[in-house]
Amino acid sequence: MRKYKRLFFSLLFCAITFAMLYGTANILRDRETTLSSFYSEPSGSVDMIIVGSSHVNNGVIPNVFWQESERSACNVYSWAQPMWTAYHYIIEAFSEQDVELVVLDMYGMTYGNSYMVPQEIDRVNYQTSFNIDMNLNYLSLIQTAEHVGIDLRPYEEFLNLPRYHARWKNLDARMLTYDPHNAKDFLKGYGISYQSVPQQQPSFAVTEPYVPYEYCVEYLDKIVQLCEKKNVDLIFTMVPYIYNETEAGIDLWIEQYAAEHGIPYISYIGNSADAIELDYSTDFQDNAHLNYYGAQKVSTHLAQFVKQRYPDYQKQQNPHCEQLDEDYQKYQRILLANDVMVESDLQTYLTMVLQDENYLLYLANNEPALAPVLSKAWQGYGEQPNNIEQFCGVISKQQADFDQTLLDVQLFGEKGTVSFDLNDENVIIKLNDTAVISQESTFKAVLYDTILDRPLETVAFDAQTGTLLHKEFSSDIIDLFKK
Amino acid sequence: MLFNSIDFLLFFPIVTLLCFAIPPKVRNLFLLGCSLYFYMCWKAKYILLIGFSIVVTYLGGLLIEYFSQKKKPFLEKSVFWATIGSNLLILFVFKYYNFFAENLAAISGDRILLPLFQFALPVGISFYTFQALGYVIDVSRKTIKAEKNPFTYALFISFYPQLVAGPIERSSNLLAQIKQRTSFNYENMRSGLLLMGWGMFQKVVIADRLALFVDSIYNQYTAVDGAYLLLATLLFAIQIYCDFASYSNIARGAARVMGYRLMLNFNTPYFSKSFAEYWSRWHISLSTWFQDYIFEPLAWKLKDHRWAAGFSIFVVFFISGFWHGASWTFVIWGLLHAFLRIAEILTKKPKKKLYKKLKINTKSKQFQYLQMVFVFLCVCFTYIFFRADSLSQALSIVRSIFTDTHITSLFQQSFFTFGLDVKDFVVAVVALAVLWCGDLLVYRKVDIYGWITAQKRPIRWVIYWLLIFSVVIFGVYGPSYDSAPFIYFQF
Repeated sequence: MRKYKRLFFSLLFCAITFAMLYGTANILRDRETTLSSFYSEPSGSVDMIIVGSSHVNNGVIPNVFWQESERSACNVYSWAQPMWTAYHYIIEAFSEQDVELVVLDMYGMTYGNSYMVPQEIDRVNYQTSFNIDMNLNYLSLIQTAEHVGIDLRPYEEFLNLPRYHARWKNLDARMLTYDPHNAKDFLKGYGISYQSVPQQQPSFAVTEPYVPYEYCVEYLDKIVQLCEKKNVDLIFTMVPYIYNETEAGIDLWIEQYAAEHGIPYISYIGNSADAIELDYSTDFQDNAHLNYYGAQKVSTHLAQFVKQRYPDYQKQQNPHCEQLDEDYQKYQRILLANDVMVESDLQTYLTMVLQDENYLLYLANNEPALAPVLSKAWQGYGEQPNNIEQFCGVISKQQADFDQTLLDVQLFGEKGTVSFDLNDENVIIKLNDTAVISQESTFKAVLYDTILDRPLETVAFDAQTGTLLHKEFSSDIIDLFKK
Repeated sequence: MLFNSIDFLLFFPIVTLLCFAIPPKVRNLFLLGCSLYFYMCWKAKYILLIGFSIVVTYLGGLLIEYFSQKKKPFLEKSVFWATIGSNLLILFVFKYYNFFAENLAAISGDRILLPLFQFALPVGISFYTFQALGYVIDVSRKTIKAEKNPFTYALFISFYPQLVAGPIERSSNLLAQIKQRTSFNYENMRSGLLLMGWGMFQKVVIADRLALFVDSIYNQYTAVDGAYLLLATLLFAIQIYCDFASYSNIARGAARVMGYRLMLNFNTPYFSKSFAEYWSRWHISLSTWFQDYIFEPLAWKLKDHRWAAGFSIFVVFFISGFWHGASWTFVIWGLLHAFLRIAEILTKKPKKKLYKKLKINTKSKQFQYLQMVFVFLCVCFTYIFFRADSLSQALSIVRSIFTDTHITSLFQQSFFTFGLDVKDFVVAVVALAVLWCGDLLVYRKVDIYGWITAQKRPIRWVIYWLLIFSVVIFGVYGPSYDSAPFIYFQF
């Protein structure tokens, strides 16, 4: 009897321990993933996916496809994505949505021959591409990593606890609450950047195709077979970047491969380079990534190609048409904000903000020298602060509310607070009790967009240069300010 | 296969379950197969070396016994020395040859250049060689009978829990147990698992965490203040203790789960009040090996000589230094311990007189604490040579500690840039406090295991979970992971 009692309690102890370990592993696991944009799309809403690396994240705007080709699109990307990761991301996408079209960026085919050395690709891929949902595809991705020769010990490297246990140092409530399936991104995996760094356009007279790394070809074959099996259309593309001669040879190889398999190939470093009139002096943010202007050109051309190829598809066929239209409107708001967010003159900035009825500006001033500029900007907006040399409050096209150091307002879709702290050295604006990040200054403002329902930026006045300094509210810090 | 790896986490329960599931007749054979597999996980071909050692010492033992019975002392001695010599030759070739060749070249001004070998050091070669030699000496001394069953003997040499880092078992203990058939015992399992858990805690929570700081400081020893080198040296003493003791505890725990009792290898060495006591508490299996097989025979042979004990100590620690590694730093470490031990013996009487004259109560707690601190600090000093990569590095560190130490530099913010951030440091401090309390209780002969098992089930389970989760969460293991760097901001 004692023997059975011991056995029972031993088994019970093991079961509870495993359950607790499993729970701990899930809490500590990093669920932040580049796939969250895709995961968070409502089921049945994504018609097509654009698969690739950061080149896709920066170079393809899914909202443009909705506008130009009437197909809802989403970027399915990961940093430095090699073809084997692309293959598993496509499987993941197929399991989540009824995808009808895959646009595959072929940068992954240049593995071992590109500006990123293989070790660096492996490192980045290893660090960032395995945070997908735990399922058979995840286990298969681990097996693939081993198969392609990355020097890993999969079951040690990717089991949750060995991999993530040190995250106890970064414990926060988000570990409990964050769900990549609920992290809505109306830009659908597009990373916007307006930065412009001139580049030299590559030019190589390559006539011989260059055969890519064997595993790239193996997994390209698998992707083609998978799409055939699932009856999903496939288009190859190559988002522009500054490539080398070998990569030009690989581009030729892909062109031949695509022709052999009857797959369209839109290469913006090869056969379609002239079609978009890319300006290498203005359309890149660095040697590898397009900025917004370049991305707009590529996306528009690619979307028009899709429209031509599938002319019968209508927006209304998508059951989430309204939501997708709303996402597009938000995307437009982001574009509009860009003009405001680069303005360095305070008076012009205030004028621009106060012209748009969907902007709120939370501001605090303790800089007497700015009084004339602020007074001038205020003209025509009714209520004035009692002391223009030292005040805080909120202004918009419709309202002005001054001299309260704590405001109860709508923040991030729910009730929140904005508070102000004025002192001689620095003024501080807090959203939901968290101070916004900016340079020390005696004039600060937070620009809030009521359509996007989020702050866009913090501005601070630089007394030395007499200009405004902008600090954008990037998506990675937004959650810090939510309740 | 490391004890703190997922591989072992799978290997151990499978082997243990199968060990008790299969018929007892074939259990030793099964364990032998598992042990050889365990060894081959490092470098499969080195199984030949351990195989050679097993075969030679097994046959050697039989022949020594045979010639002894037949009263043929010459042949007995010949076989004995051939067995010892061939094993030491293998050890020399694989562990010391390159060191020897390099020093020969240096001494001869590069006139004698022997070819260097590029092969890796076979894991555990010093441990299993000494264990096998101990067996041969025991047979030769007729303390035990030569083992007839080759599989039993092979398991004794290659028993996987203690194969690669000890304890260096005696045939009178382990071989005797292997010959008996063990069966599953709940208490053995529970105490064994608890010992393994404690070993894991020592290894991954303490030793590997302190290593981050120690390595960081020793890697930039010319750039840091002497205070950092002093602290790193003190922490290295704890790191190496936890590292070594943890392996022994895991080995003892794993063996105990399967019903085997391995000898205690570390017994709170830093509570020692003398160097003699220290060496009776530190790496006990090796210390007693040296005591039994080198010191005592040598001292006996030189018994008429005035310096017999001193010379024997010198020889033992010289060999002990070499045993730890083929480097002059280890030899110096060994010789420093020899010096400390000999000095302790030589000053014993003068010290006694001095204490009497000064009316110092040597039995007071304060005096004993001072003795402990003194012994610990001296041991730490020797560790500078143990840890340093070269003699010049060790001397530079000694110089820096004695001439360039500013304690205030430890209280600067940069302290947390040397491998341990604030949170790691807090965990290290808490873990060291747990270690200290645990060792103190053991030192005071408190039966911790008895106390735990006497508690009610919920309390027991909470203790087990605390141990498991502190290892799993706060352990330094697995691949380093950085949160995904979102290179490109998104709105």
